[in-house]
Amino acid sequence: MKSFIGLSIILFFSFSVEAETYRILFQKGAVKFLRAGKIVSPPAMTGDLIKVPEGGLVVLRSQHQTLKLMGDTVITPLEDPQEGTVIELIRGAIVSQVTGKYKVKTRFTGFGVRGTQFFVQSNPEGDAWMCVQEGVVNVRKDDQSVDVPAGKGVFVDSLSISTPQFYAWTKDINWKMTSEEGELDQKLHIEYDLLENFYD
Amino acid sequence: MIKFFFLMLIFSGPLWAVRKTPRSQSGLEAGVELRALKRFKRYLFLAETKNREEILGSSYHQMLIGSYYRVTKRLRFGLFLQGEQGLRWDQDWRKKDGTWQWQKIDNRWDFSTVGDVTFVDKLGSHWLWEIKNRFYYYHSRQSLQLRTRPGLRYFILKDGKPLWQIYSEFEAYVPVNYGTRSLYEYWAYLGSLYQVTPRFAFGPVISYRERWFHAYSSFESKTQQTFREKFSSTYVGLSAVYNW
Repeated sequence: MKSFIGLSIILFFSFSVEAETYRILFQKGAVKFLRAGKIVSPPAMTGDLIKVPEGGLVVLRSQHQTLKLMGDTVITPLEDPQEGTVIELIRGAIVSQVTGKYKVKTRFTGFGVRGTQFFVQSNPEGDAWMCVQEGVVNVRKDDQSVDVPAGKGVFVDSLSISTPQFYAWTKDINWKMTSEEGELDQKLHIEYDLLENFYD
Repeated sequence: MIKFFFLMLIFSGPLWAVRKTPRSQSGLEAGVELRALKRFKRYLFLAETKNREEILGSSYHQMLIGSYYRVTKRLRFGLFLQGEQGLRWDQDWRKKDGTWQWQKIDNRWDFSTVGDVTFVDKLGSHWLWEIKNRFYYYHSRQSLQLRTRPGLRYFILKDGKPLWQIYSEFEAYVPVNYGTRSLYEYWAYLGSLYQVTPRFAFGPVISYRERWFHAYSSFESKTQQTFREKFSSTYVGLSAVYNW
């Protein structure tokens, strides 16, 4: 009986993990979609590597998410039975507008949400800057967990998560997700928080 | 003739008296400072050691350990325990083997409890300013000292992160419950730190330091003399900081 219940649970979660399909709403520049190392035509699927060139931009929409990938960004969307959609942000910046379980993962950090709009940028060293437009984003790194409310952001490096706060650079984030709303691109000058440095 | 001898007695009198007071000194000092800082939630644990060769051939060694608590992003309080060897006090000018001299201080420990209040804030995107106030209570001497240190840091950033920094600080030592003067010592620092990795930074520091030694009451009553002598020195050192 126990094994039957266990098998049922496994089957339930197995079937609940659905592959997402990402169609292009807007594209600027030669965006590449790679599946098993080979370039494929859109729409992108869960597991694909999506590369936006420098100066490019793409807006993708799936059933539960609208993702705006800024120039020089590389991501892989994945599905996880517990965490829902997991976007591996290898480098670059992404604005996410989502419903349902969703997480952006950088090298050191996970940014988890349930229905919100937020921005994450990561550099190749794994440092990440995040700002929340709507809802609450939970930031996890090792054993640290911080909830970031709307209007605030955090900086995360290999050492720690900063205290959620208003950052001046977040005023320049372009939250528009469709070309009908206007210009989608942005020019951000993100700065490290010097107050999180300690030399004594 | 009598008048001549009388005048000789008046003007040569000080030459006959034995000088029992110390002399002012100046020179070069060199050393190394290491700090390790561990962040845990609002706590910032600090372990620090300073080691330098000082003028008069003495050496100074310091160890400090404790933690800050970040009340806000800009304001933090700290509580530390400190042990020092080679700390020179007025009372170290003593008579030994019939001669007034500085006592050997290299191997003597002075322990203190340190309370810290630090406020730091940004001045634009590349600058930080800071004011650090520390109270040192020296247990064996029951002496309370305030050290106040304003400072300014300029950061050279790469990809938004600190790569180099140049800092300048001024530190004044104020005796609270001892001594007769309001300032016993000051340091003026100019240094640089290079961020070798996100966790490790090191660089040179150069300082100018002046300290004063004063006659204490038992010295004055024994010798009927007094003094206020200045030790001035230029310090050249290396400073390293490890964060994790």
